Amino acid sequence: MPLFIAVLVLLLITLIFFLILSREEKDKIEFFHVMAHRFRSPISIVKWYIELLSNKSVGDLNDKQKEYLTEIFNASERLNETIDSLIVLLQLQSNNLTVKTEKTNIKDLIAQIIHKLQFKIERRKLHLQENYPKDQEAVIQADPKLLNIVLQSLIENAVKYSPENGNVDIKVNLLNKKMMIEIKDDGYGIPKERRSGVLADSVNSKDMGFSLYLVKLILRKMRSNIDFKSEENKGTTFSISLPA
Amino acid sequence: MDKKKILIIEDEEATQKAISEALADQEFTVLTANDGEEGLATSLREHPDLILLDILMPKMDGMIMLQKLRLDEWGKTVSTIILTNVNPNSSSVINSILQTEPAYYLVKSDVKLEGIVDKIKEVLKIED
Repeated sequence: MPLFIAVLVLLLITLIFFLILSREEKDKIEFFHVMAHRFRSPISIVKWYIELLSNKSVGDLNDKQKEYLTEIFNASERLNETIDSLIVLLQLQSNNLTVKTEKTNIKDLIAQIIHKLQFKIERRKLHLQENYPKDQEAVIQADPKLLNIVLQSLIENAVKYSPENGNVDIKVNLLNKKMMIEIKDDGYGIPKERRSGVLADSVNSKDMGFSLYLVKLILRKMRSNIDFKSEENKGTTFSISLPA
Repeated sequence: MDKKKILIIEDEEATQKAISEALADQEFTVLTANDGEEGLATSLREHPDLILLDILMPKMDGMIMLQKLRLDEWGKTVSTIILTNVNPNSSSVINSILQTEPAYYLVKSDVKLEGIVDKIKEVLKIED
């Protein structure tokens, strides 16, 4: 039931997002900031009461209750991230996004993302491998918030489109003043007829559409590139290159 | 040791209650106010050790309340943590923060109750 409500709210947010596309750019962003505030308030209340319920001072929970609360918490977290992504998308589309560059450790960023997705990775019994340069720290000058949206979307897609017991490989390399990040899964792959639309300039593919469209716009803003290879039933590899 | 006094200024009842419960667990004395006007009066009367302040509230918003509080001799240095769901990137918020110097600006939907308690302890230099 809580998941159903989360999906319903997500649909509602998307609907509001498309309704306001026709407004003037500045009004649109201001309006969405107000709407985002309205959505975030109940999200924080849901998350905090889950935290209070999980506190032993109100009594012990059994394993099923803990599992269900984790599902509600994760759904609320996802809703919150979707709101953040929509704001970034609006700012990008109206050229109002400021990139805040700072020293960013890619290994730490990926570790945080994997920690957040651990529940899904374990549930699908996925084998996750990470490879980093041995002789250098994986550190670049980038906007960590934007890069987090990019990497989380790509890793989440790899997890989502992998079958049970599948493999997800993350490789980070420094090459010719570029940081190359490769996220590979051996999942279902993208059907041939949909490949041309995957990195298109509009939201035009059904399920991966929104997140990949945003990824592409963010990387363009960061003067970075993205590419992918995919084969049906063999898997998909997304590669991004960032200025190091 | 005396219990430290925390004032929560927050118009949303469920939010106020959740934070109060988390703080009461940690042996703080908790005071509450439902809007900026009431929050300003309670602050000047009770002199709490720390104020947790929401921004969007009826009667007087949190930023205006903090600007008024900073005009008071005691209020100009009292530790304050802004706790809101308002995006911190807007220019009006950034200007206000620079002017009123809160210790932290926390976004409610991104922070756990435990994280709020940790920040309060850090600001009040309370060790676990």
